[in-house]
Amino acid sequence: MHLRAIIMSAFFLAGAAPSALAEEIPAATTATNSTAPEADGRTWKLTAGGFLQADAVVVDQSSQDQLSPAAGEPLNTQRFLVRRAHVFVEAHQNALASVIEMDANTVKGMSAGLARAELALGRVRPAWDAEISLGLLRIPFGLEVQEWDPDRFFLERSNVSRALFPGTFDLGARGKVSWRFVRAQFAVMNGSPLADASFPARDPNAAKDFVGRLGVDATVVERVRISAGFSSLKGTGFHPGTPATKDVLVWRDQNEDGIVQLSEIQVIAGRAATPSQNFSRFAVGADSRIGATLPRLGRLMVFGEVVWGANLDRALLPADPVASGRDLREFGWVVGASQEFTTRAALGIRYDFYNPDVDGFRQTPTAIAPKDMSFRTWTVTVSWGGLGRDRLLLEYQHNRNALAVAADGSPTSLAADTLTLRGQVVFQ
Amino acid sequence: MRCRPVWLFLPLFLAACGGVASDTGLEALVRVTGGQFYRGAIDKLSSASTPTVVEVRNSMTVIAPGLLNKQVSGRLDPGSTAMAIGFAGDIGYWILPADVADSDSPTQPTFHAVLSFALALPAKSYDLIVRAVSVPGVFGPAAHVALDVQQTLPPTGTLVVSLWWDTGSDLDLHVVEPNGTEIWAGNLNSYDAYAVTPTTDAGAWNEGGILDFDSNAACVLDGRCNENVVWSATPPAGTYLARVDTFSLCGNTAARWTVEAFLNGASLGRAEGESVASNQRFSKGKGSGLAALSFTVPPP
Repeated sequence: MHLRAIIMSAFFLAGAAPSALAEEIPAATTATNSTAPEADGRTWKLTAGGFLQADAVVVDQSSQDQLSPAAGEPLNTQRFLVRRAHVFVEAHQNALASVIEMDANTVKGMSAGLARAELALGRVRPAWDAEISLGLLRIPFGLEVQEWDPDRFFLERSNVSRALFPGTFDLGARGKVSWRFVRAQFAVMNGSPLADASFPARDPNAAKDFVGRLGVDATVVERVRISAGFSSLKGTGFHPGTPATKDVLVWRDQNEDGIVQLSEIQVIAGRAATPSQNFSRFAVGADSRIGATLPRLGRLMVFGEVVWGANLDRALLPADPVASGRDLREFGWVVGASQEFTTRAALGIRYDFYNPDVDGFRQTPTAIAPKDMSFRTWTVTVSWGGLGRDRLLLEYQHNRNALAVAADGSPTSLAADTLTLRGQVVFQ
Repeated sequence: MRCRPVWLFLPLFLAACGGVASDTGLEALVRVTGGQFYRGAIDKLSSASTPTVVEVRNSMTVIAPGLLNKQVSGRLDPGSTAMAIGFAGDIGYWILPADVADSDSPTQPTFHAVLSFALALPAKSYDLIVRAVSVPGVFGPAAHVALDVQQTLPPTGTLVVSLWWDTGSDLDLHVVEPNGTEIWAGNLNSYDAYAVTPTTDAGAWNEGGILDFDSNAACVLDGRCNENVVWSATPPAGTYLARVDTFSLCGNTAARWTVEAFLNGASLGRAEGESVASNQRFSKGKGSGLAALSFTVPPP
């Protein structure tokens, strides 16, 4: 317990890249589309931009032309959709900066809302710079969470990243410091990211999540750049209580004759309300990315990330240790690489592994056996369109999971491979 | 399993053909709660001599189309890890992991299947097959349960006016007798004890036309989507009017309905139509609804 606290404290010394706004929005943004005179200390300088990602899901093996029997939602996933349509406005005045970003998409029908709202106070010096921010901020954890969506070579983040951090933004306050090659970030946040399965962008308890990253980012030799870091999160989850229920009279047709008989009428007694409870959760992670420019070929990017967590899954199989009666430990990792070929084409491959319940088990007729709950995905992506962010992407995902039942009753993989085409445009 | 063509990524696609196809099995005649659906006839699977189904417990052998939550349970040979269940000749079958043994037979795994049946289940006898399965997917011999499907028949009566529709909406049948009496959910019986000569006949109420059920009332869905007005005695001669009132579509975009009148089993007329959102606007109660079918009952 003490060791964990010491490790956590060390990680909380801070995070990754400098200046949130400068990192979040492409550097070019700050020099274009200005709608006000250059900042002179009292006037605001406004810049605007955005990006669009439109998808065509060509094949999805899990797609069906049916409605979900439980929720009534369409099960067909082979469709056209707008994955992200973002517009943002950024404002600067001396050390003060602000950005407001809106997102619209059709992932679950037409929806639009706030994607980012950040107020930042920064100071830049030759040897170091620092910044504090308040609002709806990017969560300073690991590599994938902090990547801007159009910059990511693959269409979406890995399973472990999406499960532990559903939506990469959360409400809170964040500090950033960079000194030479050292990058540090620390944030206090609500703990309910934008795509949280339970209370998105809200906070059901007063306790806050503490999250940070300590890392390095440096050019070690000519054309080779390395960034690496350790991240940690310590927070408090929420188990919802239940309201009081009334007595209910239920008819169970036990002899299946369709006739109500006295012995088939049962009283389900009402129950008193149960209180909500908080529970502890945490995660630690390590990440690294190496970028190198190869002669004749182009840029090569290799990256990897590993995360251990407990009770932190908030999307894929939401963790609730109060309901399950035990802690749910998560483990996941991802490795990948992308290589540019000529100035127009690039190829990337990624493998990610995520186990939402390392201690999972199942009851067999004769014993309690371990259950491998892991999700494993191979991703192959081809990009066409040059080295900028405007490009066409074709991605095949080969998914393995434990969501189906084999003929002998054991868990097996549910076919869920996908082939997706994406068009992406960034305007600024 | 089904493999969809991904010719652009053929090598990876070939590697991908290992998973179980995602399938709700809603097209099957019988469905199993919590079961994994596999396409293929259960009676055509290759069979080994073991494991066997030791016992199948089933209380009723007569079922109705659309029946929910029918329980079938039993015991399997030791070594069984799952059971397969389905109708012989159906498009697929269901796999359920075996449960732990009970204290009566501590070496024999048990199974508990909760079945539901398709609404369009044709009336005939079916062979429900249960097979024990062991690792690695070895199917044992079939155990048979005969189930007879009893078709839901329209109510019997001298004159029957039926309304049925296709979505979970609250539609109401109104029938106006030749004398102007209207039968609907607010007036279930056209017999008027005060309009006739006082009688001591306790069964006189049965002389009127009676609405049998207010289906999906107030959008509490019952799945029947069918209402009938029935005259068990001789109906008054003259011209009748049947109306269809769209009380609520209950969130559906439309409901296609059919009205048909039968006199001694012979059709007097049939009408079809569709209720849409605008049909919900009209006032509700006596006199409401769109005129759907007019028919004449001759004197006896």
